[in-house]
Amino acid sequence: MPEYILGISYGHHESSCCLFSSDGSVEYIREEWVSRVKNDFRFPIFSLSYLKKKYPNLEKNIIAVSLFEKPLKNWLGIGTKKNLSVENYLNKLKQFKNSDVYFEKHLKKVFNRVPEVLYCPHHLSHLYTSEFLLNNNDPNTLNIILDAYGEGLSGAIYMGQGKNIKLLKEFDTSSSLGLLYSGITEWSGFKPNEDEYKVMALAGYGEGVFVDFIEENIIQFNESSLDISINSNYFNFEDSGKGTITDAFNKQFGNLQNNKPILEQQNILNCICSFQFVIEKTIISLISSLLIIHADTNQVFLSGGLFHNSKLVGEITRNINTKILVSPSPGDAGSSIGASYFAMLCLGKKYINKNESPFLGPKIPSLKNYSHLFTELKLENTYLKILNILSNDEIFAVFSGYSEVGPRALLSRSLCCNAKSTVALEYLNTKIKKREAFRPIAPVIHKKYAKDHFEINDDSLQNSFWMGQLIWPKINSKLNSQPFYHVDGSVRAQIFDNDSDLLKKFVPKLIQRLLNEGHIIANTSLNISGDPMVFLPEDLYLNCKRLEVKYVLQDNLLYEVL
Amino acid sequence: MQFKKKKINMDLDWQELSFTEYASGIEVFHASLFFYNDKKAQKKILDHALDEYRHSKYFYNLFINQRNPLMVSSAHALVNYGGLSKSPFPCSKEKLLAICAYLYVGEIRAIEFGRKVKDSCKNENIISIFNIIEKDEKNHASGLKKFLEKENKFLVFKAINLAKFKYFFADKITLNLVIKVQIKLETFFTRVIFKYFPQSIFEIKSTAKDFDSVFGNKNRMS
Repeated sequence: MPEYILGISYGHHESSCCLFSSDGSVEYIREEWVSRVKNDFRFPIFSLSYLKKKYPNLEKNIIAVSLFEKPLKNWLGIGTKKNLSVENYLNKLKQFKNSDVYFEKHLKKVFNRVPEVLYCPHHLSHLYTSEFLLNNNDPNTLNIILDAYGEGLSGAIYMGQGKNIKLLKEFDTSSSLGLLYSGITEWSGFKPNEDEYKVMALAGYGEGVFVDFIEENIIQFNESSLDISINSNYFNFEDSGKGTITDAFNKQFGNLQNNKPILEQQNILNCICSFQFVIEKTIISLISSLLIIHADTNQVFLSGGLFHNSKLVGEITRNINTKILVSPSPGDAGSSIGASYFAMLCLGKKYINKNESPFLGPKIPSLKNYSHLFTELKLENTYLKILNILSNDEIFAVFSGYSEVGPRALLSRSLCCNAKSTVALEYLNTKIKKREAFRPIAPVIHKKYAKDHFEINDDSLQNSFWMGQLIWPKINSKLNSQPFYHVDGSVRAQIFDNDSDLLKKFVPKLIQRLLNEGHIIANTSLNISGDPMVFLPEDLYLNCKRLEVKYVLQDNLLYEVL
Repeated sequence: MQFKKKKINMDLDWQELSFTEYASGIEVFHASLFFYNDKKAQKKILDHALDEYRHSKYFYNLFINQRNPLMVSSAHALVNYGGLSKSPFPCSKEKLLAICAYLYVGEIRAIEFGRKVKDSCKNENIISIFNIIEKDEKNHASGLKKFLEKENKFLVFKAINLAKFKYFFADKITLNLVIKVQIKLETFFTRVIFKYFPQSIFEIKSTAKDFDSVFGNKNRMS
């Protein structure tokens, strides 16, 4: 009978659970998949109910539960200084009542017998998530963890892996580039802690006219102390009763005009572009300085929410000639994996020796048992039918294999069309997905073709298996001016590699054949923009109906939605 | 949009109504999972969920003409404004009767609410939207009623009244004087705590210098 360790992450962004089993299996679930609430931050009661149902002996054989942070330390870490606004202190009280300080109380609602509870430091959860997902055990690994906030810090740098880690540097919240980015997101009229990826996409539409001003007055990096400083006249991170953006910022950069489309507000776009550029430059300087100090570094692992920014990761990997990897789930949602891994280390267990997969979610249920919602098309040649769909600029869904750990669909829960067709892409992007037109859909391309057309740092290629970085085309590439390019010429491509088990085992064979033959497929997550990714066949039915998607590919069989 | 104050005194927030309908779609979806073995019923319930999402879209389209959208995350919005904080899900199949009663009462309330709005509203577009919604809600209520009629009458009576009571309580609690007093007291005590307690209480130190220091502290919340 296997024994279990459970990691949990909740309270800030997307909640998740990760179950390590002594039989070597791992199961990761995001609460939003099951609860159907996008970015569900609550205690993951739906996920735990799912796991309890799937593993009837879970309660009996669970030996430890590990939370991804130290909740009291986290609560104390920000907004507790004197002389802040009353609203801030009231927010703190509200946060306390809703916080994960009550973790053990919440656990008791799910488990009659609560096993040993461990609390993994926030930034170590990120570190261990990377270590597990990137499957590497090199003591000369430099771990750079940068996010918005966790336990009074906005980041940390460690050397080493597993039990042999050493803290090199911590960043307090006053130097939080993550909070800064959230502030810019809100200032641009988007939801903070949720829409940062949209702001990143908008950066390409601006010009860096404020770069000099920002470097001189707002963000500074000290190469000798490795300190990042952010001028508090422009940003407020401490007092939650006041806005993140100060009056001085608004005076310098202006305000958003609510009645005007964002793409017509050049000043806002220039500001976003300038901040994105300075953040990239700062992080590249930080990593370069660290690599000079720690010359024996073999590889750099990036984790924390800041590295969801695929433009930032792309700029880092094309400017620094070292193996630099970002995990498929660098943010808090992935931290339940790190929390489980931490518990495994603490308890001296070795359940899992090796993980090579970004597909740690549950196996996707067969549609054969859902004949009331989907009908299997009896085709002589399914491949030809798919080719036909692509050439007619139609859309098909893929619902096959295992669920991905990260926020990006990697061809197991995807919507696909011909990436070279402007008509199909526009239809998928704005009509079907209802996404903003300034965010092009990512293409999937086979490695052998990608290398012909794009500048790719071989050491960091792995990041593109899960769309973790942007890449740029070669100057004479025949693939220039494709509809999947961003306005600044970059592409957030998913690269498929036949030689790597990372994707080969999980991507449907029909799709592999398409990619092998040189097709470029547009790939976006199987959901309406702003909804969680589909998880169950019942979700799939609802989403296909709402999206007006007719075909679903599963295990090389094509289904039609009834 | 203008409403006759005599019949209904409300300033309709389309965004909140959109969240409420969306949250209903989620709840109906969760209910559908209990009917996995009754394929016909499950499809009907899923189509009911699709109606709720469509209603949410109607209200969203009315809302997007307004200016200041809520700048909170969708999860916060659904939980706090859509009503998911009071949702009975997740729950076991044994509670199916209570769930259906809860959904049934929700439909009846939605019909009543729509009628009040229609009585008070002069805008033809809004009236036509509420007409469509009313037709759907009646259909949903009738389906749920049929299901409930097959069950033990006493248990159904109990479940419906319990659901009504829960809704009544949920409505009242938001207006309750007790809540206002509670907020005042919280404000007072929060001020006192942060003003008079020494700053050192809130200071935190790094304890994650290496694995040994973390290991020694592994069961602590701070």
